[in-house]
Formats: sequence, C-alpha cells, structure tokens
Amino acid sequence: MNAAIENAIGGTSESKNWRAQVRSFVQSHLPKDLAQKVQAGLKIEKSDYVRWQKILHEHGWFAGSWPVEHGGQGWSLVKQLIFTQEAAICNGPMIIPYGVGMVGPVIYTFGTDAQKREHLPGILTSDVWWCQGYSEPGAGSDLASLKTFAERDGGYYVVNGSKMWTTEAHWADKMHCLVRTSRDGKPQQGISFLLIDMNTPGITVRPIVTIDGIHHTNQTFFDNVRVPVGNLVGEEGRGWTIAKFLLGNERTSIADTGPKLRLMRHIKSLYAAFIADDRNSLALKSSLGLALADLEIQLLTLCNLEAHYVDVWTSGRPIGADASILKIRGTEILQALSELALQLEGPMAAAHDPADLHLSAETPLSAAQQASLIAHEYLYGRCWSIFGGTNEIQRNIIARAIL
Amino acid sequence: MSFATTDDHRQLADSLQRMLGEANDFESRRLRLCAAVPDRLALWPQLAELGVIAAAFDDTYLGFAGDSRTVAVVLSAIGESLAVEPYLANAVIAGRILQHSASAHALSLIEACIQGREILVLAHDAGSDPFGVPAVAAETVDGISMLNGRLRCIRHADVASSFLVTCTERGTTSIYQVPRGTPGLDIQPYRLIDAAGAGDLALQAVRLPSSARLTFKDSATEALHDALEWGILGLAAEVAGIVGALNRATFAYLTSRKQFGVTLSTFQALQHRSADMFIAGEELSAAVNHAIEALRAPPHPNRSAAVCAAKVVADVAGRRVGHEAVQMHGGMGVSDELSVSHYMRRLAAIRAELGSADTHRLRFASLQ
Repeated sequence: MNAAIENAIGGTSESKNWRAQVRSFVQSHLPKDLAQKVQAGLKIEKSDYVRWQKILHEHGWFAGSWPVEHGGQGWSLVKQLIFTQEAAICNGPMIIPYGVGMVGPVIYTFGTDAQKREHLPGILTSDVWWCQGYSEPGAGSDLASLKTFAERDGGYYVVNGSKMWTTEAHWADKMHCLVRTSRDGKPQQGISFLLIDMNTPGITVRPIVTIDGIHHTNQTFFDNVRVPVGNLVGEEGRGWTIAKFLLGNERTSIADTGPKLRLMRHIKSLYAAFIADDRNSLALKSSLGLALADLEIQLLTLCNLEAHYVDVWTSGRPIGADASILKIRGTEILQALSELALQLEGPMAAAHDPADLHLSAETPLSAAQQASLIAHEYLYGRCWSIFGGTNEIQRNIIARAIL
Repeated sequence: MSFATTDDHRQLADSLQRMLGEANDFESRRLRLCAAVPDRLALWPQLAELGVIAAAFDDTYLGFAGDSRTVAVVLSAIGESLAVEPYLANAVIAGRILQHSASAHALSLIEACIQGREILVLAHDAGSDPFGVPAVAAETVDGISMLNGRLRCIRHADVASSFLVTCTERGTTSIYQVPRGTPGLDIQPYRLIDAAGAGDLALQAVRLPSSARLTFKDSATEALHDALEWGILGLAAEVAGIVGALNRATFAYLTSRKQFGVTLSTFQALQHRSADMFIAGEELSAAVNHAIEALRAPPHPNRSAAVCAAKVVADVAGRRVGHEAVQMHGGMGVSDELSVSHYMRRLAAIRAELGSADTHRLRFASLQ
C-alpha cells in the first residue's frame, strides 16, 4: 500500500525525492509531543497548531502555494499535495486553512497594497488567527441567500446579522466574511467580502457543541459592528467572485488523503489485535479482513484518482466536478474507515467520552480511552459530508457537468 | 412505531410515553445523564411506580405481563424518547435470568427489582460473540466459590447494585450474584457514546459462599441464552422506536426547511432517500414482530434465527436511518443541540451491544 501511495502523486523521481525531503524535515522538526497527540487522535489545541506552523515558517516550509514575492514558497501543486499528504502520514497536525489557505491568497490577489502590508505578515507568522464567516442560519447549501447586511455609514460599514458554523471563531483575531451590501439584482450580485476584527464591539461568539461533544464551532452574531471601509477586499458587490476563487483554491486538496492513510495504519494495528484474539471466530476474522481489504482498495483508488486529477490540473484543465468527486469519495471512505475501526473494537466500540480527547499523550491510554478516540473519529466523521459543501451539493455539481 | 396489539399494551405505552414526555425532556435528560447517583437515576422510581418494570415479569413472578410483545412495546417507547436507563439490562435481561431460577432468593431479587430497590445487571463478556464462552473462571471448593477474570464494557456498571456474573466452571456455565462492594471486585467506570455509563470489571480472587451461585430449573446456559435473546429483541424494538422518531423528525424538517426558494422535500433525490428510510423502518417493524412471535415459543433454532434476523435488520435500518437523518438535517444534524445526533449516538451504542450484525449473520447461518 505505502509504496503504491508514494508513487501516486507526481509519479516522477523528482516527486519521490521531494517526498523524501518532506519526510526527513517533518521527522526531524515536528515536536515529539505533537506527533504523539496526532498519532493518538487527541485534541490539537490552538497553541499546538501555532507552534507547528511557526516551525514550518521559520524553516521556509510554510505557505507552499503562495508566490515567493508574497513570502510563500512558490511550490507546484504536486509539491504542495505531497507535502500535505506526507506531513500527515508522519503525524504532522493539519495546517489550519482559514488564514494561509483561504484569506491570504484572496488578499494578495484582490487586495490593495495597504491590505497586503497589513495582513499577510501576520498570516505567515501565524500570529494573527483567522476564521471564516460564510454560512448563516437560513443560508447553508444556498449560500447566495445570505442576509447579514453591511450598511455604508461614512468611512464604515455597519454589519448586522449572524454567521453559522464559524469554526474556531473562539480562537480567531479576525474573520473574513461574506456580507450583503445590496438587496438589488441577483442575490450573488449584492455580496461583498469584508475583513472584520473580532475585537470590534458588537460581536458575540456563541459556542456550538457538535455531535462528538466538542466545541469546535460557533454561531457569531453582529450587532451594529462598525468595520472600516478599508477592510473591503475588491470592489463592493464582487464578494461572490472572490468567494468562488477562495473555495476553488481549497478544492485542490479536498481529497485530504494523508489523515486517511494514517487512520488506515491504525486500523491495521486494530485488525492485527483482532486476529490475535482466539475468541474471535475464523469466519468473523475473514469477514472483517474482507471489509478491510475492500476499504484499502477504495483508499488506494482515491489516492490514484487524486494523483490523476492533479496531473490534469497541472496541465491546465480548470478544477471542476473532479474536485466534487474527490470530496464525496474522500468523506465516504473516511466514514467507512471509522466504522470498520468500531467493528474491530467489538463491545468496546460503545465507549466514548469527549473528555478523553484532552488526555495527555505521555501516559498510556486505557482500552476504553483508545476506543473513545475511535468513536470520536466516527462521530466527527459525520460532519465531513456536511461541512464545506454537502455531498448533495457536490453531486449536483457533478450532475450539472455530465448531464 | 408501536408493537401494541391489545388495549393493555396501548395503555402501558401511553402512560409510559406520557411520563417520559414530561420527565425526559431534552434538558432534564442532559442534566440527569451528567449527574451522579442518585440524581442519575431520578427516572427509576417513576418507572417502578408506573409498573413498567413489573411489566417485564409474568404473574408467577410478581409481575403482570412478561411476554415478548409487552417488552417490545416498552422498549420501543424507550427508544422514541431516548431514555438511556438500565431498563433492558435490569428488568429484561437480568429479569429473564431470575425468572429461570427456581430459588426463593431469585424471587426476592425480582421483588426488589420491581420495586426499584435493586438494579441488577448481567456481567457477561464472551468476546465478540455473546453466545461464546464466559470469560470469568469460577472454582468451588468446600462450599466456597472463587471467581477470577475480567469483563469489558459492562453497560450500567456505574449504577448497578449487584451483578449477575457469568462464569465458566468445570467446563460449563454458571452465574453468580456479586453485589457491588464485594472484596476483590474492581469497577473502572467510563462513559458510553450514548452518554450512559459502563465499566470494566476485574474480579480478583472474589470469594463467595456457593449459595451466591444461582440455581436453575434447566441450566445456566439455557437461562443465559434465553436472556440474551430477549435482550436482543429489546434492542431491536428500541431501534424501531428510534427509527420511527428519526423518520418523523427528518420528514418534518424536509417539508419545512427552505433552500433555493423551495422546501428540501421538493428535491427528488431527497424524496427517494426518504422513501428508503421509510422502507427500512417497515422492514424493521416486520423483523421485530417476527422475533416477538418467535419468543413466545421455547428455545429452538428457528426462534434463535428470528432473533438474529431482528438484530441484523435493526443494525442495517438503524445505521441507514441514523446517518441519513443526520445528513439530511445538514449542519444542525451534527449539532449537540438537536436530538437527532443523540439518537444516532444511541444507535451506535446498540450496534456494539450483544453482538455485531456480522456476529448475528454468522449465528443465523449456523442455525439453518
């Protein structure tokens, strides 16, 4: 499996060489406690993410996709994806996308020189933490129906409304936000892209606990929040174009194969323990063995499909329904992986305590605590087919492209 | 989804639903599940007073019903209201074992159960297959029995007053009553995915008078297997109640939530998936009814096969409806603030209880 994966993206000796460099860098620079946390599936705190992102930045491994002139690495898409995948396989925490992956490219593409000077350095050093404000209570899949309104008042926009699923808004210094600046014309035409300081008076962040019992996300309320006009990115009414650009950038890494390969490695160790237990019947062992093989084939295929799309994107084909295919299959495979892990846990699969996510990686976990972390994967896994464009919306995109 | 066929069933279901509707609303349920005993068990005296516990026993054993249909009626109502109380463990599973025992001691335990004074829990771990060999070893010498072994994930171990521990003794099964606090019994408690409690039990040189070993009209193995089959029926009926509640909530959401200027129910893809959820509920209802009828008869491979089938169909239906209900509620479906995610979590716990779907497929195949 591993050899097959390693040849998947890029497939040249150059890309293999790059993967080896990534592995060597991560293995020598990733703090041990962080690697243990990621491997065990424990909660990664903001300070952990910041620590890792700062290490990457200090050694010239951060903002891989950004052009060199803006402080990035100017990596090709192939190099970016190999980095993301291999770092995850080596137990590196994910890169939080709201700053470096989302708003950074928007600012250097659409922003003024003043905005670039103000915002890009803090994103690169991870000293300024961002969140996104897109969905609303009445605007989920139908994002263009968003109602949060920004009314011009002299040198300010006065923002009123609320944003749903503002993940990690409780950690954020700033939010990039879609607001309505006009109610005329098509809904998409009245949307603008605003940068909002989270310390501005009138902002309230209400925690929303998700199905896994953890506070990741929030609803953020705006009550006469005054945002300087200088925080508008691009022209008024261009927000929808900018949002599409932003989400398009995110779609290249949507398969997110690294964490799935890491989970597969963990499942194989669970399966080995299951096989070693004499109380499990041969028939049950072979039934779960077939399920494991089937999922491994699905995951291998996802990796190969991702590699193929990366090739065609690199050769200039625009990103379209292909990314939706990766989103659907990637999330389905992740969900199936966590369910197989639960089956391998047998009666212990019912164990789950959200508090276990905050345990120390230093002390050995009990069987119930280990099972609890698997159950967390299963529960949070249900979010993936909903957040970031539901799988139903992705299927609409594919159907529109083929019918 | 109700399995009631008589006025008695309907009255029992109505009064139980009314009581749970008042006492098990979302917020009181949340607070109760976070609380320590006795607050954790605040619902228990009410269940006893309502006669719901007695309903699991027939009149020979101080109850008033005790048939498989009554048990399914109660568990379906429990599923609908998402009550994660030790009803199945205590009244049904431990209850069946006590009803198989001929002793006066068993009768006094039944009385204590029915009055809500004792919570008895079967402590049984046979690996992935509950019909396998019990993990604890027992040895009796000169009227003293010694128990050694470990039991994983015993549901409601946190609230049990006494355990019925299954043991392997001289190559056969025996069952001992081990009260909480017995020297040598260690309980490591933890929380389950449905917010109920469980624990791993370690028995190290637990010494009991041999009178702690339950006596049976037939054998301990028969009593155990019978109790497990009734427990599996109870789980399948509970899933039926949950599936009914989730289907109702999801169909109501689809017909009210608007996106793109229309209700979600106008999208044909969602209509078809709703139809499949409904079909799954209908199939489950049929499978549970089949198992209810089968459990009226004495043990027989056909009876066991009906029970295995109910567990498999419950697993398939529960998985589909649980996941679909969450998915179709969108972001709200994965929020802890809506009951939908709590139902899905209870379904995940049931999937791991009393044998997986694959375990029951294999048992079904072996019975043919």
